[in-house]
Amino acid sequence: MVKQGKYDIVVVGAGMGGLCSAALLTHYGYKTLVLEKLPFVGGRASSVKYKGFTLPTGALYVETHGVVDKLFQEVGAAFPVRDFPIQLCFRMGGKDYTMPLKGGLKTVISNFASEAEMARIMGAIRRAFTWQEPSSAVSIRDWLREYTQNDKVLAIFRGMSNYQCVNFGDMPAAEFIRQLKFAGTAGADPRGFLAFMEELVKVIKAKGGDVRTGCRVKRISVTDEVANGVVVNLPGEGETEIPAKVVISDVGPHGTVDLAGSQNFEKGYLKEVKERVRPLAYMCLEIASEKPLVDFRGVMVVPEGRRQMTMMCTSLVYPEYAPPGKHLLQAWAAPESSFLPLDAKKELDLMVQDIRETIPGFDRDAEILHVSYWQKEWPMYRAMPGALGQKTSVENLYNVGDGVAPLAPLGLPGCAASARIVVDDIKQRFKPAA
Amino acid sequence: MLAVNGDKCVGCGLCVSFCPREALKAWGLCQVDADKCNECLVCLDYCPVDALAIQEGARQ
Repeated sequence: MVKQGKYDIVVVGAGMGGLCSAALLTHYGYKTLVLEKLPFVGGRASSVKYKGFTLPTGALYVETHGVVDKLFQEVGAAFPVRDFPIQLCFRMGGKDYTMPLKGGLKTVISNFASEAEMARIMGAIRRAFTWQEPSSAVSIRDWLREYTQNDKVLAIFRGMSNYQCVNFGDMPAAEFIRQLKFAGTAGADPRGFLAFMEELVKVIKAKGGDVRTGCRVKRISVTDEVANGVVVNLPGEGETEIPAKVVISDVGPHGTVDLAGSQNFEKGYLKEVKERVRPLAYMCLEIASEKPLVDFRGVMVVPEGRRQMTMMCTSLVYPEYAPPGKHLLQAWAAPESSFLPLDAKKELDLMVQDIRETIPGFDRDAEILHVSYWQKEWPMYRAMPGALGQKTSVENLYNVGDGVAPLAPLGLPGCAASARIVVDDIKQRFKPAA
Repeated sequence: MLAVNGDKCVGCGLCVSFCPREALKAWGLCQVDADKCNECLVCLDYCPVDALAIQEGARQ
């Protein structure tokens, strides 16, 4: 087998966690190589061009003024994100209720609840914010049912849970409250997420690191419970051994165990991975039309259908995502359960029925352009935040990404935060090779 | 011919985006239109979960 390269660190997977790790590491002088099996970077935070449209492979937006843009700034990467109006509008019973940016939740609920009911619900939310978070052992749905049986009020929270891409009945109450606290500004790169992630690749390469796509890592090498490199199939070069002091895996904790071999991990660690790292399912329909199918320039929440649904006429905010004369509507929904294996076809069928009822003239005016379902090994999130730490039981082998996100905003910020934790730990333990 | 492993396929639709002949569809699971597919195998590179493969006894 060919042996090549002198790297401090090899990163397996060029998703958000992997590229953030590599960008920080190269910034601090570590010689870093990123290996990605797909032909493009970004993983579930990338985009593809399809029939003239720019479609996401997963992430729909990124938080701004938070952990992600701070990391980009620190490593010197451009952050060409344009904020979108994060205002929500609830379409319920054929009427639209726009949520004001301040005091919004209370205002929307007040359309459906008596004063006494309002006081009870808002009191519970206030206590969850200022006294103690509710238990993680119950869902936000079951926690709220202790305070109200009002279907309209519950539907509002159902819609808000879907905005976080988690089914109402599967979203832990504590996590829902935490995400409300985190709520801030968000946006996307008008060029699409691929171009956004390539900004990290540029800084990694400019500082002596490398990012190679189309390179399938066959295994993570472990000797006496210590990781010491990878074996990878390099195009044109065949199976190649690349030694490294540290291996960072961005393929999810289950994938990491598969690559390094379960025999190399402690049984307790394997038990934690099996029990805690539970991928979440989600679905998205990308819909083309000549005129905007939704005239609201923000996020339309449709919480009372067969499936909890959220939609946005993305091309009203990012005209660049659609070819001239066309519009793009993205509708996304949680299946009946975020965690249980379900009939994805049936879930999509139900979602389309909801869309038909929400958008008059849908069959006449719209074309379903593309369908995405995330689950199992390519999920919406690999796990809920805080499910597992970043260190594995194998020395010098870390995980990053949404399978090991700390308590942070769901999605990309959690991936970036996991990278930050890992790189801070590496900086404490190793100096870059001279 | 090109076959989809139903246990692995997640229905992400990435292969659909990259198929140069529009031979793939995804509705929960990926489906191959054998009449359109010319086995260029571009989709194999783009499948994130390795659900696509050429089945034994492939069409010539």
